[in-house]
Amino acid sequence: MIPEDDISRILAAARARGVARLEVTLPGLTLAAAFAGEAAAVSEPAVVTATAFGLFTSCAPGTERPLATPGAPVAAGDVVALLRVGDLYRPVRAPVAGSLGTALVAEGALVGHGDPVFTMAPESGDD
Amino acid sequence: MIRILATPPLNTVQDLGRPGWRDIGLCQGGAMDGLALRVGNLMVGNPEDAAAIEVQTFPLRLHATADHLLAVTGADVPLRWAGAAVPAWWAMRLPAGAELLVQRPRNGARAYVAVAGGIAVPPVMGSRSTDLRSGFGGHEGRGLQAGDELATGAAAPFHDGLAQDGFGVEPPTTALALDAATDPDTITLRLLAGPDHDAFDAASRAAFWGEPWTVTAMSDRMGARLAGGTTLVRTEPRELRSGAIIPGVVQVPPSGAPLIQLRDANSAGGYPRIGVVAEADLWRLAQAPPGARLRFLSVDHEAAVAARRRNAAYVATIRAALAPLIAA
Repeated sequence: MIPEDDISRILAAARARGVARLEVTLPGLTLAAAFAGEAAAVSEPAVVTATAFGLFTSCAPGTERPLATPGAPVAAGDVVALLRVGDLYRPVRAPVAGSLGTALVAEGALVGHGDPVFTMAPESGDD
Repeated sequence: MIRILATPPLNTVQDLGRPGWRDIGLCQGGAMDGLALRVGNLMVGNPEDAAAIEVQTFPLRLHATADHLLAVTGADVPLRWAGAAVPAWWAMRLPAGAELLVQRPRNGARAYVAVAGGIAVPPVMGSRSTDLRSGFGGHEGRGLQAGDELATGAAAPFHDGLAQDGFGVEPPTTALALDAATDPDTITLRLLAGPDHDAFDAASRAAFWGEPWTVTAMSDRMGARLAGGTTLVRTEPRELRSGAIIPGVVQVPPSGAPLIQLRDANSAGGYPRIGVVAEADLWRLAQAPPGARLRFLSVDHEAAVAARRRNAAYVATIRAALAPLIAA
């Protein structure tokens, strides 16, 4: 038998990771949960994807200062890296608030639209 | 319309200045970092000489009463653009009611907030620059205050996706890096010898060109007073007739510590002129906060002109990169 508190925790964790359907079968318990699409969408991005193409640049233009540090909290919309095309830079933005993980591409690598460029742990809505 | 929500004193509306009035004693004025102003204007589709906000005290907070494309150039300032962190040398639409926060620079001294359409204060004697000393031009002839509302001119059509998403450009710190500047903690400025250079004794001349000079807190838009290890003295000290001053002239007052005249300098002065900063490097000096260390590199006229051309080429490169974004 699973205590009710644990069931709440499992549901919260599933929701935070964008799980759409969850079934747990244990002796004496059958748990089935379906999460609404919008709930899943809020916490879905486990990666930050590029919305343009360009050469991956982790530092602010003209500096050697990284725009974001792995593990640091970011707000939705923060520019966490840049995609360079000639003398122009396009932004890579955090899609939601949370903490930024590691870069998935090397400095200077050519990145295309939709490519994952960072892992990210979204802020849990239940905290 | 741009509304100033909070600002310390001495932030002003500036364009490229008011040349041609030295005969009646008016300073040239204009943005201390003209290069940052030009590029900021290009980033929002403006003519290069449109008026913008020069921010030299921080933090500045403003908001737009309608959607506006803005750019922030100049110093490496932390920015919050409608709450999101973005780097400097950045342009993006600021939605109506959203706030732009310009914080104290990590590097550099002055930031420029350019707005699509330009700050539409009435021009006075051919310029929208604020002359703080004489109290005219800019916004009511004074520094900006919380509650000030600044009208903007007609904005050029701009690529919607990029304006929405935001974009940055290559800043001059890297695009115009000097090979001679090997110490990242020192700002190298190219100077020509001034008309009174040879009146200084050999030790003073050697110190002037060879030793570092620190920008003191006694520095503003009029001039930068420097401190160093050597007192500069002339072989035969004597009174001089007053001579013309332009931004960049390095004078040595009786204290023996040099001072560099800047955008709001008097039109004439009588201290000996040991040198003049090449016009192409005045933006570097504009970005030197109190405490910054300077070194002077002796160049000839030809090199100073070449440096000016290189600056122009950088601006041309940015203009070309942005041209496809401005719907004709």
